[in-house]
Amino acid sequence: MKRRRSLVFFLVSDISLFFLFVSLFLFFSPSSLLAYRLPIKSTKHRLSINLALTSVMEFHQNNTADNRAAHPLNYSDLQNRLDLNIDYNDYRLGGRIDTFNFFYDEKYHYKCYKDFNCRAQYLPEKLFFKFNSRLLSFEAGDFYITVGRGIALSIRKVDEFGQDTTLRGARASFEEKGFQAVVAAGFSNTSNLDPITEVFYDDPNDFIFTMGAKQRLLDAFDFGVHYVYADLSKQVSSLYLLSHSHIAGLTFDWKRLLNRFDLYIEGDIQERTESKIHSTGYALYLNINAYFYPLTIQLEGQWYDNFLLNADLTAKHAIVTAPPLSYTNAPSMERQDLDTQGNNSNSKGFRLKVDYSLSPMLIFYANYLFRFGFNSPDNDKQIFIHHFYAGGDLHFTDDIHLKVSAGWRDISGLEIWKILHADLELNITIAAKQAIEVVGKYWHNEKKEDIPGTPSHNFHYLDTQLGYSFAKFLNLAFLFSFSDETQRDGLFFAGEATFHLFDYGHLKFTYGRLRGGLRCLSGVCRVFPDFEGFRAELTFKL
Amino acid sequence: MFKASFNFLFVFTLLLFLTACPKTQQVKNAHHVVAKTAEKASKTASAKQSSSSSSKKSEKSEKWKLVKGEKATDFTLKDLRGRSRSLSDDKGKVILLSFWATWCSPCLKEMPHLQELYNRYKDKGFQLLAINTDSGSSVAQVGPTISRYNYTFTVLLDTEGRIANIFNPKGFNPFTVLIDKKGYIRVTHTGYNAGDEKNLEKHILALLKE
Repeated sequence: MKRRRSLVFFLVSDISLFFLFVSLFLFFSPSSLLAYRLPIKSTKHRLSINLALTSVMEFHQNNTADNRAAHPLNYSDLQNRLDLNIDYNDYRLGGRIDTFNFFYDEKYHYKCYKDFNCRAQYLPEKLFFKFNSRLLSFEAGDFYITVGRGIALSIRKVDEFGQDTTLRGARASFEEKGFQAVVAAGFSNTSNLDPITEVFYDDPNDFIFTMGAKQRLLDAFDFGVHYVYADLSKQVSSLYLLSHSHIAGLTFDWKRLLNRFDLYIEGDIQERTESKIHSTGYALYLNINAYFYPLTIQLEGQWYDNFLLNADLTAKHAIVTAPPLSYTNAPSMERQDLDTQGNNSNSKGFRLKVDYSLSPMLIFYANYLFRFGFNSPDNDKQIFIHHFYAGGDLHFTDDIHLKVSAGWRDISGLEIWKILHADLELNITIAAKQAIEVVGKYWHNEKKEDIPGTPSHNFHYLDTQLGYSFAKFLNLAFLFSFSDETQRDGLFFAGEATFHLFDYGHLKFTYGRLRGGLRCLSGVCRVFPDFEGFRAELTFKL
Repeated sequence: MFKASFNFLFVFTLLLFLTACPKTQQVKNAHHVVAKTAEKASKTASAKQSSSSSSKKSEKSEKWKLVKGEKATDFTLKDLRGRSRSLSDDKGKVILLSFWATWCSPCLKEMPHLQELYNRYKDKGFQLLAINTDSGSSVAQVGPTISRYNYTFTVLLDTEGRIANIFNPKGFNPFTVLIDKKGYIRVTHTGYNAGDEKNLEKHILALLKE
């Protein structure tokens, strides 16, 4: 009968735990590291090393909530991440290593491995070499790249959402006297371990090539052209699914036209082939900002017609909410936390936002969005979204700051979903370095199928946070959430404590139950699972 | 067996480094050593040209003594007017890099204090570069956000996140980097809490006096 593996066993034989051990040792050590005296010929040369270590230990107490599909076991896990960069003059060599271990009762080992692909992970995630000079820069290995506003190509990191996709290949760029040119090619490399669901994914290894040029004219505006090729073909069982895409586009960017306007226009055409079926897509995006302080006006418009550049999700199980894997990040015009529709490929519409600053201490704004046109995969029904919200940013005194907003969002099409939402954020400085913060978010939801006679389902979300901070030393937070969307939901209580020590890192503890749900950040949306248990996070950097 | 040996070797190597002195002390020592050596070299050179052996010795000291550098990597980004701006454009100044995003609430809380610091010290050799890390999908909000609050410091756009990845690989927002007049990173800070601006001001004043 196999014995349960103990933490002590792993401590002495496992590199993952040694990272944690090292992190703790460094953190509490009275000395700091890495002073070198190197025999280098001239003081004109410089060598520097930057190290960042993060260790996260979690004990998952109850994972049987409806939206927690992965790992329905009581288990612990330890994640470590080491970012190391070495700079020598204009050269940089760097990389990232992730390690991951599960600790659970041995009787669940087969189920965990077979159903959720959970396994110990000790692989270098990223490796790169960079060279920068005044005119040229060159990168080999893993790099990020964005073309235009992300409609044609956007490969970047959104750490909070477990998204860290790079291209692994080479990139070269040249810039002089208002002219910029970039050429890059590589295979997509995602983070193999999704820190949100703790499931392991293989790299997609899709091939992407891009080149582009931009010229500044009359010292006023930039005119650019770009091209992106992506090969997303995949072997699925005995079938080889052919899929590739060509995108060509133009951009026009005029900032501070007449000292009052920003104007950006981007147009892209996509020729796509999927399993011998050819299709053409179009994307047109417009952004105009007008500055007439105290009035600021922002207008965005989009026309996306069958425009798509998403890789297939590499999740092994349909029930698992995989990390978003997309090579584009087109502007959705939505407010970050209220984007409820992830599919942009056929989205059309506009957004108008007006800010009025009575003073820097008193600002009001109003926003209206209208979108339509994107179809659901199973239905040709058009979806319509109207969203209006307004709010204020108020400094009553230097020590009291209040932000409030409220709005109404109406989605119709395949389903009808109405949301009444309100937000509040209050910060009060109570002493020179101490502050209290109160944050609240409330949604009243009404959902039903768009079929006459079907009943509607009303439910609520409430997320509140009461926090105390003592600058440079301590943050405490009490979190309370409520949801009655499903029978398993209810009250969620949790506490957080963060200890800062100098500027080298922090130690954060979380205990309780946190509500999951849809979160959106920087154009990326995904569903977070609920969390119940204990979490400790140690971050250390040099 | 191999794992255990490797782990032991890893920790042993790190323990070698742990005998060093504290970071700030190291940097002070480094600058002290380099400065002293340079001073010695210049005195020798100006006092007696013929004393080639001692000047050579000083040169040798200068050549052979380096500490872990925190030299800030030069970069070029576009500002809100579309003009290219490099870190080296402000060579010789105390520079504050502040990484922020329009969706980051603590970043927006910190900004009025950054504006105050900028107003107070911009004519005394201080420069503030607020590096925005919004992706292309939300970068349209950057100009209106700055205009709404009427901020006047320089804002640079890092839509690809490449510069953020150099200075701030974990992608924290806000993240602050303070660079001295010689281009060395002296202070980094993650997040914002009430009162952080006072600590930041102390550091800025200390660096301006150097």
